[in-house]
Amino acid sequence: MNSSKDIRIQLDRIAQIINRDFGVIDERENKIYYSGESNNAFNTITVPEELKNDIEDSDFLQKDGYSFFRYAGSDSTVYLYMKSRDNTENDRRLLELAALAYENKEQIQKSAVNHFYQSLLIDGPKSVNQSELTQYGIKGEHGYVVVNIYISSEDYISNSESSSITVLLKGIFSQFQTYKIVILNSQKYAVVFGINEEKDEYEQIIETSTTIRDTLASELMVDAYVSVGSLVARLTEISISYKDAETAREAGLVFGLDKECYVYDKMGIEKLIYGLPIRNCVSFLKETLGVEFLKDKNAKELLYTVKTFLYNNQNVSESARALYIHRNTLVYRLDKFNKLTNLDSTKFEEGMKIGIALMIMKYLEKKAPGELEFER
Amino acid sequence: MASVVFKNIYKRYPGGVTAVNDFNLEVADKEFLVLVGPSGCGKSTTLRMVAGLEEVTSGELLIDGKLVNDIAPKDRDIAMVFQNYALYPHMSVFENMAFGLKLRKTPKGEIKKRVHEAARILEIEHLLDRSIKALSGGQKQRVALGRAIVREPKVFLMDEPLSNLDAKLRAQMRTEIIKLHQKLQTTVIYVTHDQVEAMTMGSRIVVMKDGYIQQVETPQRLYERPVNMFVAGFIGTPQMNFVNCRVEKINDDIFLRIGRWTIKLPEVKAKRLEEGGYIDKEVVMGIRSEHVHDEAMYLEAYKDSQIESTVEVLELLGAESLVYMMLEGHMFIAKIKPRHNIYVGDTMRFALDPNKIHVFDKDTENVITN
Repeated sequence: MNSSKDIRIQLDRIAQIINRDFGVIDERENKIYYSGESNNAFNTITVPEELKNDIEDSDFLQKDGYSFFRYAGSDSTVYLYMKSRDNTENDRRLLELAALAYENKEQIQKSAVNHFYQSLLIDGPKSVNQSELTQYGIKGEHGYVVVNIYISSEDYISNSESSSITVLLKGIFSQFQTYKIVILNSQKYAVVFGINEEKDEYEQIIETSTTIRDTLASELMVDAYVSVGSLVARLTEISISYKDAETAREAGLVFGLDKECYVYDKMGIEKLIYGLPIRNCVSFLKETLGVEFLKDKNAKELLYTVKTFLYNNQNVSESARALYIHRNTLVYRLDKFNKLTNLDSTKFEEGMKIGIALMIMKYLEKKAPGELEFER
Repeated sequence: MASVVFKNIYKRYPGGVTAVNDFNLEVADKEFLVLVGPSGCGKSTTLRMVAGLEEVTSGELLIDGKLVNDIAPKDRDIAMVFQNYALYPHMSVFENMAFGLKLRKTPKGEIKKRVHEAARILEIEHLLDRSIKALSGGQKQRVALGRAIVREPKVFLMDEPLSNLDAKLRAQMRTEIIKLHQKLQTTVIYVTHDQVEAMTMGSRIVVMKDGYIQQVETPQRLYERPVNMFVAGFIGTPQMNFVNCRVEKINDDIFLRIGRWTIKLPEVKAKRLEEGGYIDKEVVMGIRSEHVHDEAMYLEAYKDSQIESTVEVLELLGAESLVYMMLEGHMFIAKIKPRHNIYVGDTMRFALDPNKIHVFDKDTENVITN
């Protein structure tokens, strides 16, 4: 049964009050609770399809001697059931009251769990004690990873919308067994995953994360940035994964990388440049391209041409096609760049320097535009 | 159903990057408009501004005659379909299609009605109780479309919805979306980087580059009368052939000189070049590969516009063959009827259809002769 000790105590009380065998099943058919443990027939009951698929357009159903009630909470649905008695309306009321009592207790617990993970993500392992770790911790035999979701639409912060985001994230990640959705504030959400399969699970999490942005936009009309942190060994280290995910998003935005999902472990050279001191970046630019070139009014166009040339593996025809210019125009521009900077973009080492300089310029444009004051 | 009007729309990001520049356009009610261009041209940003996911920096955006600049995305009565959509694996098709409506607290009866109607339009009614996991790629794509349809929006916004599909399914879904548009009779704004998708789907196409509209036209006119080298090169496969040449006047006729070859231009095109002061100046000639002919009747008809070159690569495509050759340092492609007696290394003579030649200004890259 997937319920905590507190909730089980609450459900035991409810079972005592209604004085019948009683059970709770979640929307993924997991038995959250059942009373009367020796009664096998009762324990193997499943939710009738009519109720699950809403065919009868009612939250209550009596079938095969049992009464079922569907309770749609703020971010999840549960099914409560018990042996039917003659009075249908009474059964319905009892199950509805039981659902409210269950929901109330569950909300308190959810809040405690959320607080536990919030502390673990932001304040680090010092903020939690062993009993909390045992009570709320999720299992990750092969490590843990954090996915951050940052809602960039600033006007999107009401409580009902916040729970919609949680419901949607649950829907997206429903194929994963071990995860917790943590609400950090109305704009920031984190999903902590326990990795339990040796192969592919981390990659699957990344792949699924790439669908979050588009799904949030199409279902809830909100824009979001999604980033995935690094894999860490222990639950107490998830603050590292969380911070890496934050860094991945910030660096991804600076460098204008693929916007669907920024993955810390797949950031490449951008991750390195993002960690460089601004002073070193400026010094490198001056040394490589020269201040005179950076002041030149044609610098921007020439840099764009050289960048396209490098990105097309220094192939003149491909680059000309990508720029929609004639190849002779491209060759002319590359020569001009060479004369102004003394850098030959056709040579590997010099091409590499230019490539790094281009990335540093992009970094400074966002992080410290004032440092590019030599630019016209 | 609604029109969408862009009036002097700009999108500037902090740091000075301008993604969309002075965008002016009227998308008519029930129109299927395609925004096409290379990566970074501003097409997705434009679409996201219509959705309200990006703020408009300046200008006016009107949907159904109403200014929507400051209206929240969820209140704009639009629906979006994207490339990286997620279907909820533990839910049935019905639940997937109903999910968004449930989140918006739509009454249950209304949800049922809308989902069944969308499923009927998409011909997936028989799949409503099935698990998402049991569906084929095409069926999943229809469910994704269904989630947008159930909203019953005034405008559909689609951002590269077919990009993640394999070539066969993409072609199939193109047809499905066109049929869907005919059934729904709704305004659609569709973004793609794929010019084939744009040409086959759009009733009008907007070609964008560097945040600017390059040309807005119907597919056929865009193909036949591109306004500049970018549009000419971007639309059409293979890409239009471009060759540097010089304009020469011999007696009363105007020719384009390409090395030792001269191409005589028809009177109307010749007049444009002469009036534009291009005599003895360098220009760029553009011609599509299907207008480069090797058949006797064309060689006979266009005696004054012929070239000769050596076959470097030959691509046999079944219904046609592509002959790749070099012409004065430029790769030049002819699309000809398939023959068995052409080999790499052969010297071939071609006639260029002079009526189909485009001449572009070398500096501005704008067309001179259209």
